[in-house]
Amino acid sequence: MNNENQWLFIEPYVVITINDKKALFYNSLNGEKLEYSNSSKIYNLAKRLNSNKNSYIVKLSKIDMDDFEIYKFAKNIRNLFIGDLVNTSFSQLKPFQFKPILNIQKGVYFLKKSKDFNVGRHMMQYLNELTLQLNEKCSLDCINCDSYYKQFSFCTKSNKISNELDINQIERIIEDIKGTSMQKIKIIGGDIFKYSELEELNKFLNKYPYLIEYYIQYKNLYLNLDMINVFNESNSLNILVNGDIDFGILTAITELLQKKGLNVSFSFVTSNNNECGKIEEIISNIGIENYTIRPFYNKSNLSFFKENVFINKKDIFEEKPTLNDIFIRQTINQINFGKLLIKSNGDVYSNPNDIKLGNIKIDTIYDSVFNEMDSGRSWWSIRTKVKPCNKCVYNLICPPISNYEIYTKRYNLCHIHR
Amino acid sequence: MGVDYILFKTVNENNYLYSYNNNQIVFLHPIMHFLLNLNKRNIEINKWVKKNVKRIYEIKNVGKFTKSDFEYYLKKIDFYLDNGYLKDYNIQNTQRYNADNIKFQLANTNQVSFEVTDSCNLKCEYCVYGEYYVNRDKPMNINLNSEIAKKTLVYLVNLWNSSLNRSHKKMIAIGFYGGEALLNMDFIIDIVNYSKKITLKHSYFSYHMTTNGVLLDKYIDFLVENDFNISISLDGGLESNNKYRKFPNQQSAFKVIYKNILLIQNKYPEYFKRRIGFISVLHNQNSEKEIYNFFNYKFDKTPLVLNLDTDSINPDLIDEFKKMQQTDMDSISDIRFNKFKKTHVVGNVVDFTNFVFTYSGYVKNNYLGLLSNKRESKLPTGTCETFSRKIFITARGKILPCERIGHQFKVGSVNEKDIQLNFEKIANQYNGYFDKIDQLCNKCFLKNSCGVCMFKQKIESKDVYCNSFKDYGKMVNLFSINLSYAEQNNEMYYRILNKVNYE
Repeated sequence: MNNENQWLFIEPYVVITINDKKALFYNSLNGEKLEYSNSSKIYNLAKRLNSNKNSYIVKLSKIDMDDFEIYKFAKNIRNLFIGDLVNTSFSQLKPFQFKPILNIQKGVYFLKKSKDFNVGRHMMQYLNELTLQLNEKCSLDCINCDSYYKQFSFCTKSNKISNELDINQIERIIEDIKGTSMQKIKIIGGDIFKYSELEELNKFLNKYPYLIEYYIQYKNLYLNLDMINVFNESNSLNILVNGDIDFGILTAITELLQKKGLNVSFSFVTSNNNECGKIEEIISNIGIENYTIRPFYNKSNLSFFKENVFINKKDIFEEKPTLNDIFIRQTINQINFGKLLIKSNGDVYSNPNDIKLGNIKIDTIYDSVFNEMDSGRSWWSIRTKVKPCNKCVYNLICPPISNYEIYTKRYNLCHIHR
Repeated sequence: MGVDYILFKTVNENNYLYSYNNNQIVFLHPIMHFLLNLNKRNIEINKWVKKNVKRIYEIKNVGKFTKSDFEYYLKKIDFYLDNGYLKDYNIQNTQRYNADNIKFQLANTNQVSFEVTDSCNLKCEYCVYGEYYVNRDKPMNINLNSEIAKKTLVYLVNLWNSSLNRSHKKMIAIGFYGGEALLNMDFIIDIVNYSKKITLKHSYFSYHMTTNGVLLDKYIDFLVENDFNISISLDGGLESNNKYRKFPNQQSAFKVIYKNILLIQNKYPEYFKRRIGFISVLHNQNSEKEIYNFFNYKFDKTPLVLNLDTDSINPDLIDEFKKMQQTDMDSISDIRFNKFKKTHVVGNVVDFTNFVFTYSGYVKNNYLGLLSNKRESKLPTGTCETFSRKIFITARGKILPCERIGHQFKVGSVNEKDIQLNFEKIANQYNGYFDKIDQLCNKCFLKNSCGVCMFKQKIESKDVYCNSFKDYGKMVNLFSINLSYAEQNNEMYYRILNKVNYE
C-alpha cells in the first residue's frame, strides 16, 4: 500500500449500519462482514464514511495510515472486497460513490406528499394472497383453537356458528380482484365441510387462474371422506395435524389422499420437544413426504421457542441477504405484504393479530386495501420501526418480522437482544 | 446486441465502471480500470499480467505499481466477474401490446382531455396549430360537441368502475384545452354539470384548464365555483417577453392577460394561491431566469417552462423557426423539475436527476419493482404506455393517447352516436411502430434505459431516425459528464434520491 494520502472508499454494494454501540460493514455480494465497537477508531470512521457529505469516501492522511487500527481496517476491507484505497494523487477531485439509498417513485412516502395522487394509486396490484374463512362451525374442541391461526395458516372456530361468508359476497370479492397480482386463495374454516356451498364455491374458484389452497383439520377430513371428490388435482390441500395425533386416522387419510392423486401437504403443530419427536416418528412411520412442522407458542413454552425458533447472529448472516433484500427489509414486511384475511363475519384484516381494516358486508375490498396502504401496520411492519430491533445494528440484515413476533408482541425472538 | 459494461473517466481523472447487468456504477482503482480496458479489447488479462508485469509496472500517465498490486486487482476482477458485473446483458425489446393491455391502461388512466375548440382569440407565432407545424389538423373554428364528450365519458366510466381499475379514491382529471377553451364555455358548463351526475366507484373528478387568460375576467366565477385548476400561458413579466403572444391584429395580448391575472388574485386570493398555475414557453425573447424570477417574485409561483416543440416543423420555415428558439442550452429546463429547481438552480441538475434515476440502480417504480428486482423484456423506446396517463379527444372527435403528438397518430374516433376504439387494432398499430423502431434500438447503447417518445422520432417515415441514439462513445461521454457533475455536487445526489418524484 502506498503511504501518501489515500481515498478510502466503500463499495456501493456494501451496507453500513451504525447504532450506539457498533458499526457494521456488510458486503451484500459475498455475505462477508466487519464489525467494530464504539471504542474502536473505526466506529467513528464508519460514521464519517456513512455521512451524506462523504458518501462512502474519506481522505486518509499519511498519519492516519500509520495508525495500526486504521491500517488493519484498510487491509481487511480490501481482503473482503468491502472497500479499497486509491492514492489521492491519481485524481484532481474527490471521487463519487453511489451510496445505496432507495427511492420508490410510487411508494407511500411520495404518494402521501402528492397533490394529485394518494396511496390508493394502483394499490390493487399489490394484493397477492387472500385467505377466506368460510365459517366458524366445527365439531372438534382443539385446545388453542383460537390461537393457532394467529401464528400460521390454520382453521379457527367460535361460538358464533351462524357466521358464514355468503357465496355471493365471495363472488363479488373475486370479481373485484381481477386487476390484482393475486396468486393464491387460502380457504379455512371452522370445518369447511360444514360450509353449505363448498362444492359450488370450489367450482366457481376453479374458473380463476389462482392456486386454491384448502386448510382442513385431519379429523374433519376423516369425518367427511365422502366429500373428498369436491376437490380436484388443481387444488392444493393442506392437512392440519394438532393435539394428540390419532395414528389410525392419519394413516387412513394419508393413504386415501395418495390414491386420489391430490396435491397434498401436511402441517404438524408442536409446542415442545417431546411432541416434536413423536411427530417425526409418526411422519416416518406413515411415510409422509410433504410436510411442515410448525412450532406453536402457547405462552408457557418460551424455552422451546428459544431452542427452536430464536435466531442467532450466525443464522442472520447465513442467509446472505442481497442489497435488494435489504431494501425490501427497510421498506415492507415481505411476509405480510399483499395479503388479506377475510373472516366469516366479513371482517377484513391484513394480519389476524392486527386491527380490522373493514367489513366486506359494508365496504369493498378496495376500501380495506386502501386503509392498509394509508394507515395499516402489517404490510409495513419492519424492524427499524419496533423496539428493540430499531436500535439493533443487524436490523436491516435480519429476516422480516414474523407472526410469532407480532402475536407475542416481542420482536426480539433472537439470542442477540435478550 | 448485448452490452456488458462501460468504462469511463471523469474530468477529474477518476475511473469508474457501469455494469449493465447489475445496473450499478462503481468507482475503480486505476489498475482495475487499466486491466478492464485490456479486457474490453479481448486481451486475456491474467496472461497479460504474467507476461508484462515483473516486479514493477508503470501505467502511462498514472504511476508505477507492484506485481502484487496487479495480482490483487486480478482477484478483484474475478470477484466482479463472479457477481455479474462484467456479464453481457441484453434486455429484450420483445414485449408487445395485446388488446387487454390497452384496455387495462384505459381503465387506469388519470385524465380525459377535451380539445373544446380549435378556435383561438390569439394568434401566437409558435402555436402548434400555426404555420410552423405540419402534424396537426389546421384550425377550422370547430367546437367539440358536448354529446361527443358525454359519449366518451359514459364509455370511460364503465371501465373506471370495472375491476380492471387498480386504484381507489383516485382523482380523475377532466381537462379542457383548445385552441382557447374559454371560447366554448357552453361546452365546459355542460360537461361539468353532466360529470357531477356520474357515479364513480373508485374515483372522483377534478377539472383542469389551460387558457391564454384573455377571457378569464368573464368566466372566473364559474371556474372558482367548480374549483378548476387553471394553467395560464404567459411567457414572462414583460411585454417584450410575450412578443409572440398576440391578437390576430398583431397587438400584444400581454396587458389584457396580466390585468386578468391581477383581477383573480384580488378577487379570489385563496383560490389564486391553490389553483392558479402558469405555463411559459422558452424562446429567444425570454430566459429561464427571467421567467422564474418574475413568477416567483410577483405571484410566489413556479411556472412550468416548456421548450418550443421541435416535432414536425414545416421544412420551408425551419430557418425562421430556429431563430425563435432559445439557444442558451444551459438555461433549458424540463417541466418535471421546476419545483426542484425553484430552490436548487444548478446547471445540469435535470440531466443528473435523469441519470441518477436511470443508472443508480436504487430507484424503483413501485413495490412490485422492489420485490421482483428484475429487468425483463420491455417495450421498445420510452414511449408512455398507451392511455396510461391520459386520453385526448380533439375537436373533430379524433382519439389520441396524448395532446403532444401529431394528429396522424390517432387511435380511434368518437361521434354523437358511437365511439370507435378497437383495442386490438390499437395494439397492432403500436406494435407496428415498435417493430420498425426496434431495429434502430437494437444498435443503441441507451436501449435498456430509453426515455424517448417514438412519436417524436418520425416513426411513420420510411427511414426512422432517433435523435437520442447512442453508440458506445456517446455513452462513455454521458457517464463521464454526469459523474464529473456528481464529484462537484455530491450533496445533489441525496436531495434527488430523498426528494425528487416524477409523479
